[in-house]
Amino acid sequence: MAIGLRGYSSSPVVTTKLFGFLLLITLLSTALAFALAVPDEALEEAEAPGPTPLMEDGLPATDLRYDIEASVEPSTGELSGTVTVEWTYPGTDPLTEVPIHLYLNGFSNMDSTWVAGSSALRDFDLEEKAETFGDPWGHSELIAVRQGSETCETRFVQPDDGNPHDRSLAMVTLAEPLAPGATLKLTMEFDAQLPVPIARTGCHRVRQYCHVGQWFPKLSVFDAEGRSGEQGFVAHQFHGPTEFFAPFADYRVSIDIPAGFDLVATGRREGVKEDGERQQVVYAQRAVHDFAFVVAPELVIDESTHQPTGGGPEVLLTMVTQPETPLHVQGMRDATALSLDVLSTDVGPYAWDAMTVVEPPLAAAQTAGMEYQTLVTGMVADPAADLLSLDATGLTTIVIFHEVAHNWFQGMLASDEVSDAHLDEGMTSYWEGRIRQVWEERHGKFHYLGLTSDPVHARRGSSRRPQSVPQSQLTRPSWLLARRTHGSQIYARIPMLFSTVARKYGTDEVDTFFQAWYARWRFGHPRSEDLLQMVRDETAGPVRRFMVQALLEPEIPDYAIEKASSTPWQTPLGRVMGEEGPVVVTAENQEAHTDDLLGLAPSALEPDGKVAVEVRYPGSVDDGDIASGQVERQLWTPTEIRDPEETDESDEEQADEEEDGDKYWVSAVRVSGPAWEHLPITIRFEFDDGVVLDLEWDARTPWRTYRFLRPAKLASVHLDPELTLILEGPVGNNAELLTPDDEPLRPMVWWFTRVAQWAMVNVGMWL
Amino acid sequence: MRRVLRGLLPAAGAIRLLLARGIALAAVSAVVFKVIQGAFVGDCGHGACGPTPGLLDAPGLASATAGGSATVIGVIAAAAALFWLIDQLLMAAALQTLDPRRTTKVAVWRGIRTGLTRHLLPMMRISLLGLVLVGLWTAAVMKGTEWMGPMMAREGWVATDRALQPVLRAALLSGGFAAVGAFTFWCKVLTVTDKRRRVRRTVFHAIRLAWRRPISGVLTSAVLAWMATLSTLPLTTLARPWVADTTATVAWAVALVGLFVIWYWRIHAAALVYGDEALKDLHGRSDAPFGLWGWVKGRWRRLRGLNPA
Repeated sequence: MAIGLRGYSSSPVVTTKLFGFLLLITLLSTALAFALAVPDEALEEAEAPGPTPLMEDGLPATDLRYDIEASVEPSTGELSGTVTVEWTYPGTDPLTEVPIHLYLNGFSNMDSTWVAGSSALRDFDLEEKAETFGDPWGHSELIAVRQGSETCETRFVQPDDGNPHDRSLAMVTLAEPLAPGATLKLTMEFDAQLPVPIARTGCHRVRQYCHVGQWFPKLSVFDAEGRSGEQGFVAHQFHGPTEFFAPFADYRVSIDIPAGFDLVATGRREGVKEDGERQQVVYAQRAVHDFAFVVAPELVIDESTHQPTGGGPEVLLTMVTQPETPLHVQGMRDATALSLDVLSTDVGPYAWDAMTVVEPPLAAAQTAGMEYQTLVTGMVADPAADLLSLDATGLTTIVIFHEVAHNWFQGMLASDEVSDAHLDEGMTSYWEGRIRQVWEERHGKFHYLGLTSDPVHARRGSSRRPQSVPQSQLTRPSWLLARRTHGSQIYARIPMLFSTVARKYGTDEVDTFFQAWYARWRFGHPRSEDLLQMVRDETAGPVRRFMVQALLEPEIPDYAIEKASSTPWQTPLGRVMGEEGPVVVTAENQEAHTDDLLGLAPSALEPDGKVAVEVRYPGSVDDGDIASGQVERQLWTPTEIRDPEETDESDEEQADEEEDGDKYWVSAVRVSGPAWEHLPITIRFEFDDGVVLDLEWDARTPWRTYRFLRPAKLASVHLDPELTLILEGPVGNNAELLTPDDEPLRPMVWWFTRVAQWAMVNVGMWL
Repeated sequence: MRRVLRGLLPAAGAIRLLLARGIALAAVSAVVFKVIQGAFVGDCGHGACGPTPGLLDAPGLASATAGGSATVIGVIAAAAALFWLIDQLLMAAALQTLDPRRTTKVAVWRGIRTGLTRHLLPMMRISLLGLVLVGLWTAAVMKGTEWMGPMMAREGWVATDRALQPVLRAALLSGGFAAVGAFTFWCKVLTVTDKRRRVRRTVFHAIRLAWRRPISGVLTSAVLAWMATLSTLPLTTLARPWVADTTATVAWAVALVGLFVIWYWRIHAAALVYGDEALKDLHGRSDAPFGLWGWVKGRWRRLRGLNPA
């Protein structure tokens, strides 16, 4: 325990109490450590597989192969093709049905599960889109499915919500049951229509810009180990608030597009075949779980190579932007290279040898900020942003950090984005912040009009909603999270957790954890249970206790200063013992006795410079262990004594202080906290005479009070003054200045007054 | 236009008028400052923006203004409404003091008192009419340019080209508002100088004047209002509110002086233009009601058989 280790007096009474307290804490810690060693029920599951072995090319062998021949018409968004799937069945029982995702059907009508669920996450008006574009809808139809030469039956299923209007998941009944270890060869002919850009995919038909994602009939993940309950497919419908989950596969895709059009896609280009007014572009990539491409009449394409500092293959960087913004390329390349460097060094090497970053036009803004392995989209490329110098805000750069980081979290560590979306978005958001930190160290902080933004503060800001909707970080499935909590639950809490670990215990703790996470789960499908297990396996002591609690507790902890006051001390009324015997203090003589310091506790004189504090806290009951509350009187050496003259004070304030100079003050502070087992916090007390006292609170009880009797007034109380605790609720209740300080606010008050003046003198000119 | 330019010259009472307006502005501004300061200090001054408030941080700025913003908007609106009332009285006083046809001197304070007792209500009704016109024009402009948004999205325009819609809207709206503002201004000029009470008649009278003096009358007023408001807007919006900026404060003080001069110029020029002998036939026209309401009432009573012809 940190409490008592700094500036503690050697008073025998206090020492005895400290010893008792330390003993109690030691016993509690031991009991807690023992309790944590026992597996939770939440962790009981089938044994997880070991790390995925890699082949010579640094990629794993896959049991799935896609051979796709597709044709797309950018002016209409029409898409058709044939998908040939070869899959070696890893199950133990004969297989009769195979689920196939037809994600484009999520955009087929207003009642699809995707559209219905999207309102919980984002605002968009499909009716307006329909009015603007006439037919904004997308769809995907299976024309024929054959197993070998035999035709298979298909039907649409809705295992998640039974919504009859949803056709995002089809079940193919195999013509012949598949034996364990056998290879399934399935040929699927499909006919699809890309929607106008609504979310992540779509085709702007006038501009003929198509971002083609989630476009082909796609096999679900087969859970051979039965980790999700029993052996079988993990197949969900397409849900509005969440994304995708797919098995690793080797892809070879031939795309037929109009001649003269540009195309970039997942992986590396294998060749192009011109054929009159059309061309066939072939791309291939091993061991990815999705395939996307971008096609447009004209793209600015810049190719270069980069060797990530953390190892792995040399990477072909393909930066793609719009003809209106050719100068973006350099910034995109720098951001991508830095992301690859930071992640490969601090987490693990990037496994593939290609990385394409695409900036879509404003017409396809809804496809911005999306991740696929080896191909991601950045922010919208628009000359207006350049005109307003928005690059200074870092928005475009930060999105690249985020999307490239996704190539680790969900790219290589392919968690289920539908059920455990926090695993990819949360971890990615944390690393986005880390990459940003390095970038800002090299290039200066992102800013705009003199304003800078601290990503940690921003995350805290977005964490307010979960405060009111308690749900554990590991709550599953992500698409069923409470309305409007997806952003904070999926994006904010995990980075807040790791930022707290980094600030309290060091960045190395975090890096070590992520390196272990990478080594264990690269090219695997980690689940929330695995995160919890990894915490228990790879961390120890306070880090482990904090992380486990942070992952399991339904609420984000919140510390608060409930009350802070400072009033002049007075000799108590009644019979008070003086040096020469008892004195009766009445209302009439109280002031005179106060001036004589009658009844003042000797510790208030601070003869040895130590500050006396009375600490009061309630008892606690934890797992049947009952600990008593106590009142402790402690003596502390000030952490720091600042020169009171250094503070900017008005003459009025200085006069007040001189008047108060010979007074003693009773200062009382009450703080509250979440009563977690391991989330200690520093409380900083600052007094008018410059004395600063940092006291540690173990925060195992829900509240604690501090009472000081000192020759100076309490000026302020700050909880966590060094901002180490990032996983915490609103910061608004973390500080209390007893005398309000309007100095930093004055420019803003002046500005608003000017705006008021402008309105005042002008309104009469117009009406 | 000579009369318009002569409006810039100081006339008897000009300094007192400007001083009165300045004092009023300073008084209301002081209240505004105190209330806004109170709102912000209550929200952030106790350290609620965090242990290191640092208002240079965007989220810190957001939390600083979150609670106070509702108060701030309310205070600004209330201050604008209050000062508008004061401005009506000052305008009435100015028109009486600066009227070239007056043979006796009118003290500013007396002008304000007359404004309060005699002219304020008609002036408020004129402004109400102006508000209705502004609302109608806004609706017409918004509706009329609505088609542009979907068209631009459909055609895939870049944002710089899509700015056409807001720019066009801003131009049409500010032009329309300036015209309405000039019209209501002239209605008020006629109301005060001719001691009129009937807004309905004054409206037609103002149209007649606009026809006779389209440039020195209506256009000048519109341009001056437009110039005053739009030229000073950047000073309030572009200055960074979170930075103590002496240059911006000095520039604003200079701009305020400029705005006061424009205010005076506009009223003085209007008084001189309307005082022109050539417009003598317009002076003192009938202020009697049209009798429309009486006619409607009569028709109604006749229809119901209460007052047979």
